[in-house]
Amino acid sequence: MSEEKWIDDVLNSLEGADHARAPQDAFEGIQQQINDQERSQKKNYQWIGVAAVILMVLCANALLLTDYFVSEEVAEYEQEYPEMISNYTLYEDEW
Amino acid sequence: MIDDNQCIRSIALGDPEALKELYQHFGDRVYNTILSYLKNEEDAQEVLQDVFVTVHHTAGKFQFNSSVSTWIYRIAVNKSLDFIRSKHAKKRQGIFTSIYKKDSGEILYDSPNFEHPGVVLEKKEHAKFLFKAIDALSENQRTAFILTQVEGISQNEVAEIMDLTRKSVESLIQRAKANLRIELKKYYPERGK
Repeated sequence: MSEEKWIDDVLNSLEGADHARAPQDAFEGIQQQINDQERSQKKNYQWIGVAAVILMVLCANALLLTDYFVSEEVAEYEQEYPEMISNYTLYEDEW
Repeated sequence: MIDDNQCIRSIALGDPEALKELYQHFGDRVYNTILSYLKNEEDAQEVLQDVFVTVHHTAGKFQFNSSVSTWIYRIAVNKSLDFIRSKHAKKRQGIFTSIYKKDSGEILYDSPNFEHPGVVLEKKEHAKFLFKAIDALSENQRTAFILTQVEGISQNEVAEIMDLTRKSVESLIQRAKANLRIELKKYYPERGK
């Protein structure tokens, strides 16, 4: 057989070919993958929720602590100038 | 006969039956295309699953600017080419590491002698050479050749899938055939006799 004839035969070898059929269990695999991905996505959302709650608790605690120290400072000032803070009179005896 | 557009809308709304219907309509054809690229049934099944998972996840974003068939083929072609690229990258990495691990003795990828399951029995031997030669084509020539010659899709639809003009597809097919002729000369059984 000549080279050219052989090449023509090779190039035409797909004539009359059928489509290959996908494996029987391929669709189950697709569903499985979709379900797995959705499950892992749900888990991620749950972790995001947990992280959000932890963050909120930490922020609330930080806020409380800041508030606590600010109140302490005010209390200290109150002790330093008791008259001024109690009746707002600066020069009591001048009048 | 199912309405592909309606199917995609239903998939976007989370209807699992719609995905099954779409798969029944396109599954074999898409698998056949992927198999022509990858020449390995296990790899083709993996990519087929990946294609339909992508269809499921992106159905809501489909703009209906092209036909559903075009869209699915486009995903299949891109996924197949990505798979081949990553396989080649691994192969290169394998060669690189083998320089340093000469005693590993592991063959990462061997050249497949692929037999397409749909090819007529008496043409199987010839088809093996054809699929081997297809590897030598550029990505665009390979895609144009596989979609028109193996899958039997019209040049117009292939142009849409590849986002080219019909003239460009025609020229790609001509160049693919010319390059295949050159490549096939290397495999001619009586070469050098």
